[in-house]
Amino acid sequence: MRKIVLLVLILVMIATVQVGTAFASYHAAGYVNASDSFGGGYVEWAQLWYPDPGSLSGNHNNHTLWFWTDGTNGYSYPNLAFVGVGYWHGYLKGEDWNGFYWERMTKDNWWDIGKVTSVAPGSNGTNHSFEVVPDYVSGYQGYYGYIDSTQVFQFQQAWPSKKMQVGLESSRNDQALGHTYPSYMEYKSSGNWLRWSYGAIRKESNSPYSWAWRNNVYYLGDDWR
Amino acid sequence: MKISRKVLSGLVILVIMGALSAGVLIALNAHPQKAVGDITVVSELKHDPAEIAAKATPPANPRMATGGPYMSKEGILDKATAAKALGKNDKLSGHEEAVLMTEGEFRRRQAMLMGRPVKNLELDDDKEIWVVVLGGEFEQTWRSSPGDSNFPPAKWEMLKYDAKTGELLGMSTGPVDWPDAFFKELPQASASKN
Repeated sequence: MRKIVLLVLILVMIATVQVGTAFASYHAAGYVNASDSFGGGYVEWAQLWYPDPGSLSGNHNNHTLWFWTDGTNGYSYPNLAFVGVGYWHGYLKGEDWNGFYWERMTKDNWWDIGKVTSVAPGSNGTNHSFEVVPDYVSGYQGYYGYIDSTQVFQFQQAWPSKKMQVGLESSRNDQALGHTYPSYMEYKSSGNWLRWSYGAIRKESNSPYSWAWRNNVYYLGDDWR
Repeated sequence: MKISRKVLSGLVILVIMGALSAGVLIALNAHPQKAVGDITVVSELKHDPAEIAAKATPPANPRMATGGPYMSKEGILDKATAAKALGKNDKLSGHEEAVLMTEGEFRRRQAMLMGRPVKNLELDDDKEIWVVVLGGEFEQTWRSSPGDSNFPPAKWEMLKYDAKTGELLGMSTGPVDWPDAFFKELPQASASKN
């Protein structure tokens, strides 16, 4: 009888370890590893109209394709410079903006944000495309941004781009958003547009089902680097 | 050794559990660490980047120059400094400017402020905007960012409003104490279009 109990205990331990490991093992789904600089990024996702985050209290949600610039690849200034396109709902300096936007931050800490009024999110859950491409802007290094094939920005800002990310943010610590991942991704590397073709697109490092509350932002993101 | 039915069925359940969890584990670990080898190239792409670039033009602006009537300077300053336009911890110093200009002039002045080339910018947008600059201390933690959003407070913010409707179009800030260079005379070459 003792042997049986021992055997049962061992089996329980094995099962527990396997289940635990399974839930902790999220590898590279949604993680495009390119060794050189990016020549562009293209993403599609079904845009959800996230609940009003309480814009009068200064809150907002955003769902964004970010494209690192100036040769940076970090998460903190001064090794963080980027351009981005995406969706914004909530507080924007006294107004409640529910639409697309662009944003950029340079290596020397200039920062801009702007509403996109030429393209609308449409009904809840509509699929949209977001694209950023480095190219010359009036003869200088720069970036072009597109939403649904409409150009929404062009900036002179230094190359190269070493990293991209698609992320969701909410400034409310009690309001994690739904788990929405890009339905389709491409990037340009060594002159070719390449398609991410492997299965579901999910977060690369931490558990895809966990949000992080960090620096006053509830945050979930997918990196390509 | 005799094994009772209960123990036997318990063992069977545990074995099934083990097998299932092992299956899940294998399935999850099947995701490749490096995706480059699994990428499908060009022919299957859903979008044609060259076509997008060729077709795309700067968005048509439905509110091109109208010649007014514009919001008053007092009105736009009131809007920019209203309590609901400020963050919870924002503080105004009282140093403020409001200037009416076109979007194209704004971008040339912004390039000048940032120390970027001005005269070669291909700008032809003549939409009129109010540009309001407020001095003080403005929290920046609400910005979106792929990395840290723990930016230190800004000493000024520049807000762009539609000159006629007063709708906020965008905003910016930067590393200098006050954007003096934005208000300097534009280089002669940029006085003409582009």
